[in-house]
Amino acid sequence: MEKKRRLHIEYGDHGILYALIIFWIVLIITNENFRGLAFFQTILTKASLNAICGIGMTFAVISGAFDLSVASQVALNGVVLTLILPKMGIFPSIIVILLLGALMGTINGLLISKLRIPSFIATLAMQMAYRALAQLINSSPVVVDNSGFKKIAAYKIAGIIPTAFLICIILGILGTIILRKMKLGRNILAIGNSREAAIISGINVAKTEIMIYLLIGLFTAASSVIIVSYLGSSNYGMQSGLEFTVISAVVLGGTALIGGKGSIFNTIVAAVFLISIRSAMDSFGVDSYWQRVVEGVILIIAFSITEIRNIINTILVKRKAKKQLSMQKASK
Amino acid sequence: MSKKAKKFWLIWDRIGILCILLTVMIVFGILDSRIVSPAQLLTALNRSAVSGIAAAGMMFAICAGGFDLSVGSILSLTSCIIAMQLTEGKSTLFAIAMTLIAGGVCGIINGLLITKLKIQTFVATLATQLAFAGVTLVYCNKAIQLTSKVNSQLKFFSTGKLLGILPMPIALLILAYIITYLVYNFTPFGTKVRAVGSNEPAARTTGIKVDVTLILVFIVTGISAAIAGVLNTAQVSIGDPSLGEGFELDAITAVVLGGTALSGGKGNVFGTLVGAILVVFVKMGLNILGAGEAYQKLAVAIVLLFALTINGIKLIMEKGDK
Repeated sequence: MEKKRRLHIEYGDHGILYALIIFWIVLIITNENFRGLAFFQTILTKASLNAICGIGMTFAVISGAFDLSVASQVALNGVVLTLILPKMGIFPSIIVILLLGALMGTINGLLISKLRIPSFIATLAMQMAYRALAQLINSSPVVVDNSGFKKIAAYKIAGIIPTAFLICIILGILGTIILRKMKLGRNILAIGNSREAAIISGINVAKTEIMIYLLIGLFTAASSVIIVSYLGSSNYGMQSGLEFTVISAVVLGGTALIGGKGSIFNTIVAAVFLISIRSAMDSFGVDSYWQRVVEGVILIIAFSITEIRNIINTILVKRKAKKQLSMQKASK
Repeated sequence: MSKKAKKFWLIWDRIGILCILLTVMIVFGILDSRIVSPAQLLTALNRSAVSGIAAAGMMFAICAGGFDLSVGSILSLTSCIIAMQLTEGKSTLFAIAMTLIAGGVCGIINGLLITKLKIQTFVATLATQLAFAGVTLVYCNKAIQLTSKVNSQLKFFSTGKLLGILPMPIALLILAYIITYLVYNFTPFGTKVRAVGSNEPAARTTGIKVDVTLILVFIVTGISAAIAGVLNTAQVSIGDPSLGEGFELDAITAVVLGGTALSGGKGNVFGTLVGAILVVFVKMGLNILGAGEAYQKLAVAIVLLFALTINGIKLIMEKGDK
């Protein structure tokens, strides 16, 4: 019994990783398209684009909030990046984009923490605003003509590991350090568990909230650099709907939407999982319209798994309590 | 907070959004008098019917403490259904009944996911948004142009006039809001929605069937989206699987502008109507002034942020800086 429960908890913590591995094994057995190295490189590269943005989003979801503006942030970053890249060169442009991301994040954070606008609606308004700004800056698509810059996403280290995935892992480790080892991370977890308790215990909630959106801005900026490098172009309408894919990955990774717990590692794994499912459906010839239905159903299952797990946990706890009660009665 | 300030906020809650609308109208009127001509105002009302009707349903969802992000997909789905049915030669009444049933079924699915599987409204409707959009594309993968013969009866809803004076969309809009007002204020359902939105555990303890109420709320949202879908299809004469993309944001914007509290429990029927009109009016006014789509979006975002900022100031004054 004890062993079974421990197994259950461990399964719960890395459930998405096991699911991914089983899914991959099934794919490798059933379809020969999935057996090459190139296939996995493509999946990991594509997944990294969403996962890097997901690292930032994980902070927001842990604190019990969302950022719906990330897709528009990517668009604005992308449009600005393609404009300044030919003039400034690669590294200065990336720094400008990171600063721009930090600025957008800070604006979101100020609106949410200082003006008390609920995160959902504040980031919804900023989603419209950033997208509109991107369109105002440049309404026509731009193709990147810089082979060095394109290599950021396309280069494979030692011919095996895609750079995009390596960057994603490094940023993931960085995010985990912030979340687990730094005061900021502990404050974010505390706010997610109980905002009131966090205020009473003296945590500067407003400052922490601004920091959360600043982090999202930075990670989204990093993600947009790689997205532009991968796509080799930018336009103001790019990546619309990205926020939903990213939130799906975060939630599928087991980060509770009510806040208070979560794991960046699982977010990355879930992003890979979502892209794997998409590629699998592509190569099995699933109609692209049905793919959307399937994705929706997978999300519903993923979301209700937490609830089902909760129900099982309550039953287990109740049964244990009953057992102890009956044992106490017997000993009396 | 002083008594005067309290009184100010009380009045602001009732007519604040109307003041913003009037200010915008005056500003536009100064810039270009054509924008505030009666004909243009009528056009603005006509155009706001679609988002206004969907916003009425959305108000119930937000008032019950949730969201419905799937209304855009429901709108696309119903648009395709009615176009398909009419092209196949079914009667208009039958086609409209089918769309309303489809809207209701979508609502039931949302409601069941939220109450029985305890998925949060935000993510549940996010998932069904994907799923419904997929179903729409499976059902009908390209836009269906309605021929004038097929469209003759449906056209009544977009260009017809009630009693020879009142354009149908405006009549429907007014009717929808009268019904919403009555349901929200004078029926047990309205009271239950407010109770669930302001404090769900308390509502449960007092014996309100929270699950049934929530499922009903999402049925209402689904059906109102379906009505909006029929109206929109009649206006553009096309059954389009991408008609409703991003539409949920329009509806939510109207509700939030109208002063409905996002924390739930406090709706504002009249405000929602004004909010829907304001969004359409701002877009139309800028369009006449020659500003592009981007400026229109930016303006809507600024108006929304402005309304939210005022709301935030009110919150800070009420509760102190905590």
